[in-house]
Amino acid sequence: MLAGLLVAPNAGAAPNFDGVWLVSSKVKQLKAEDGKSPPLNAQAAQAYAKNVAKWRAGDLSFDPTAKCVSPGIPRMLYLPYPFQILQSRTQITYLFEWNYWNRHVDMSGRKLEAAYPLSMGESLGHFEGNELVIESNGFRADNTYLDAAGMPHSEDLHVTERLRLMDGGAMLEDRIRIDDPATFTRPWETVVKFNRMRASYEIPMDICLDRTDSGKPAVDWSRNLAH
Amino acid sequence: MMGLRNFGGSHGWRLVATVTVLLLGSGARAEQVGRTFEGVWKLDPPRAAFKPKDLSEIPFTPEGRAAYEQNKLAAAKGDYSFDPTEMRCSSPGLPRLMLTPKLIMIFQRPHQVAMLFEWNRLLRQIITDDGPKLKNPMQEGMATGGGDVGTAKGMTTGHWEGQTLVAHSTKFSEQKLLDEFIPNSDALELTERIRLKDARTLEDRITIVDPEYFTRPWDTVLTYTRQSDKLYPFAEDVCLDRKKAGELPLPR
Repeated sequence: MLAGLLVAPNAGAAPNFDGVWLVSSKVKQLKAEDGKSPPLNAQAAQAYAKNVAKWRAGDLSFDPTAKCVSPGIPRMLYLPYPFQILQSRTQITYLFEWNYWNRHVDMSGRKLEAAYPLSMGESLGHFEGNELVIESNGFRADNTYLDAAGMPHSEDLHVTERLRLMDGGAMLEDRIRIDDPATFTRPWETVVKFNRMRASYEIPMDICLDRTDSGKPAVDWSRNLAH
Repeated sequence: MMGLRNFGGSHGWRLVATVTVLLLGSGARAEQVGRTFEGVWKLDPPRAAFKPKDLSEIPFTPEGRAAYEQNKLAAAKGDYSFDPTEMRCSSPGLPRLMLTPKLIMIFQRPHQVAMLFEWNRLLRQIITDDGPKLKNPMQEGMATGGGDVGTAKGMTTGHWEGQTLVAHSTKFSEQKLLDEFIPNSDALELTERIRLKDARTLEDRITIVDPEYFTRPWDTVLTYTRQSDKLYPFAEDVCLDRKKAGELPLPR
């Protein structure tokens, strides 16, 4: 309780998303909010089906992330590893445990302009009441997927996230809108929830290649999501 | 500085701190008010080696002196096989990370001080919760081997003494260096006292204890100068890419 008070902003100010967060359930195949499969176009559906077949057979050869390549946004968010959000007026920084990646959301109001495609893309954020709205684009598409089963996306991907705190700050809800006309027949949304971990959780140094060198998986789905 | 300071900055935390003291009574842990470490910092003057703060000689044991001289000799011949950071961009660990030639972004929160290094985007957190360090089930069996195996960063516990952050670190790996030449054993222990000397200067006083290589504890001091907030976020630094392009991961 007191931890919530200590990180609370001034009354009436924008919500504060500071904290350590962990996805509340194992998101392996991304579904739309209604639980149905996302509206992939014919070509993308074929590519996805090929990857799903391999994935179901335990063959991760289609997935660069299995070799420790960054999964990019949004997939990094729902890996079974925590991340910390550090919020200031001009910047929101995500510190991911997985391979100690980080992500920056620019809150200064400048224009979105990715110099070249990046796995994390470029993110701009602003508040709308009690929601944090993050717009991201500038994604590279040659080595990232939207989910663990290999859902494809293009460089036209535009991600809009709406974050809000629920349950008195114990839960973070991230409503993710995927807009990628080269891959999907229309924009669609999904909701991913995160549980707050205790504020004193120290992110361990995770070197993915050290783990895979010792025969462990790059993404360890056997991890406990206890928070 | 305006941007970061205006957000809840001095006013928000001061209000929260006041309320906290009222709620917890006079026995409350002193909350940090006023100036914080938050911001972008650069080691000033730059250096790659530690020197005792009283300018005496480093109190090496014979083993320590031998390893130190051997490393210096090898480096003079361009042989850095003694240095995992130069060889494959391994984390310099502590305390050598604090000698970084690149920038540091420090975040300060009630429960922790987090340092994000421009160098290879490494992260260091100093958790300042009072009370016993809770064991997180996910940290057992983590990449480092779970608790008994030393790491480059070691394990750090922190607490505030007034406006000074005191960080105590143990459980280090011996497969790294203290600085560009000095070795450390897995018995290394560090105590850092980190404070603002003034609004633009951060000071890290480090007490180094390693009975295998030093005959007694010794102190060294690093200072950092505050930089423009506009320098953060950092452009991504990929050490291995720099190495491929012929650069030394850490300048000497």
